[in-house]
Amino acid sequence: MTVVHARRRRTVANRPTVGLFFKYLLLVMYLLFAIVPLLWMLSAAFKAREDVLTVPVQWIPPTWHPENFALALFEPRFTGHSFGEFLLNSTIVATVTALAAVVLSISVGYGFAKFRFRGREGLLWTLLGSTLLPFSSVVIPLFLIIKSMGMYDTLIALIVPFVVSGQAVFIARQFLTAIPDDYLEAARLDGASEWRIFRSIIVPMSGPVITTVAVMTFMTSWTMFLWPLVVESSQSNYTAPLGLSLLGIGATFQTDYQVWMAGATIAIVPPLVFFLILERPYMRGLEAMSGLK
Amino acid sequence: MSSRRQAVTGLTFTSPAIIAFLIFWLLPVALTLFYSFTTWRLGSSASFVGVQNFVDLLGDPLFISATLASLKIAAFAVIPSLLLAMLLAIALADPRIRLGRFWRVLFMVPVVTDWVATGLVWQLILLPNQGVLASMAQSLGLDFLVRVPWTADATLAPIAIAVFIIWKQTSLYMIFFYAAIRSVPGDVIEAARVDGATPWQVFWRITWPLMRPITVFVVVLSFITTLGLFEPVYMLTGGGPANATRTLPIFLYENFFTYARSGYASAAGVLFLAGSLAFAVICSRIMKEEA
Repeated sequence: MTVVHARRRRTVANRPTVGLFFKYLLLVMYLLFAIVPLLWMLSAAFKAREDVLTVPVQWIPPTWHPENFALALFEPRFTGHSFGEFLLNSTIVATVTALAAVVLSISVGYGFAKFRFRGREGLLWTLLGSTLLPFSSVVIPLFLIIKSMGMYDTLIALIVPFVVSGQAVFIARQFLTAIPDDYLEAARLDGASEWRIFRSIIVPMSGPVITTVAVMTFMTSWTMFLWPLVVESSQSNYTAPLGLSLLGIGATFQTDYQVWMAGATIAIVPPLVFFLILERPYMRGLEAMSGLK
Repeated sequence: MSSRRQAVTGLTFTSPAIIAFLIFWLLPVALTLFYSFTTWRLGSSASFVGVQNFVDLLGDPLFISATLASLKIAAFAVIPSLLLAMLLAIALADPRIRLGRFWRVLFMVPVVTDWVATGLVWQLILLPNQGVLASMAQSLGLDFLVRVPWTADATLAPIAIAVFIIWKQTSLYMIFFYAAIRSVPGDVIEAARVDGATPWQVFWRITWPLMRPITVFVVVLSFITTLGLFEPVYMLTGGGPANATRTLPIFLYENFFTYARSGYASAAGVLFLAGSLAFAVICSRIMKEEA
């Protein structure tokens, strides 16, 4: 009986078919579509100006110009500021936002997961619902609030509105709900304070949530554009995407395509490296998000 | 623990985030609502005008065209993107496909990059005459494609933006679909197959019904996110040519920051929000009724 089943399974599920061929074909075609623009960017970042836009396309730079990256990073292009400074701003903003989001999400996720209080469900769903708001529809009033708090044109303005996200709270809550109540009860019987329980039991057990929330928040913060465009006016507060958009618009440098591409490559690296190292927790976070249905 | 202590401790842990949320997310929404009933210009005081802004908006050809442009780009981007994402997820979920993780990770690369950097790349890809696409077309002898002004033609520009969005977002939706397909218990599928069900039948009778809730979520998420996208339009066309790609986010941005018509822009924001919410509610209702 088992033998028959095993053989059947192999014939039904593992035999290569025409269907399998088309599946591979689809995957290969889509892989090309997804990756080729970025490979072209990488190659253009190393080219001389005259090799960037040629017929036919040159995928390997005929001459190598790694100095494009130094130019993109350090040459002052924008009223005395360089792209390197904007990268530094982005790093500060994204790191601080991610750290704050981790602390807040675990705390609030714990509150939602392990304590019953009036309005809990309503609050949770409002938080979650906010993830569906198009950001561009609230950007105007958010701007007014930030301005009235005296944070206009500061780096803090890029951090505070994003330390809470429905997504991060939901992920933390899902994870912390799974921690058995017995642990907490035992600690309470031993006379541990609530703060002590949070610090010594909940936080050490939250490793996966910490990485997931940190990676997601860092990436969102690093890549945001509309908000810094609206809220920053001095170039000393610009972030990497803002600087890049200026590279693209600045009339003087309109033809320095190789430097644009070097700048774009540099801007893409930090979130990409984060993603490649922490791909599993990131994907798990996405999957948890789809669990809210 | 007493229920009173539960409540106090729970609220203590949740309050920092809740306060931040109230200030930075709920208050803005309430404020937009308030300002939408005023004629307020940045730098002067607001006075109430009732629903005048809304009446004006509905008669403003620019607002109507912005709404239509948003819907058009969203439809051009979301429908192909979701179909593609579903096909990719089905392909990846096939147990015979090797290196599943390799494909998933590489597919996700456009998702984790930013709109501005990749927008610069797409500008150069779509450039007529010298761009990457034009150059490839010329090498292949497809001369009619060489001069096409992808981002400067009123018919083509929305399509160009949609392709950029498809490139950037499809893999994200694929991950959701993939997770959904994988969550279907393997032995159920196995049993159906042993009983002689074709892959086609297995998908439509078993996998699809179980995937429906996630599909609703992805449809709502993708459509609303795409309607609200500012960056791809800003990077590729800036709203032009003429008003062909002047979408709602661009309309809001210009009315507020360029023309300082704050009350008017707020009213447009309210309509935008209300539309998004209505769409989300209708979608989940329809899917619930069908199930």
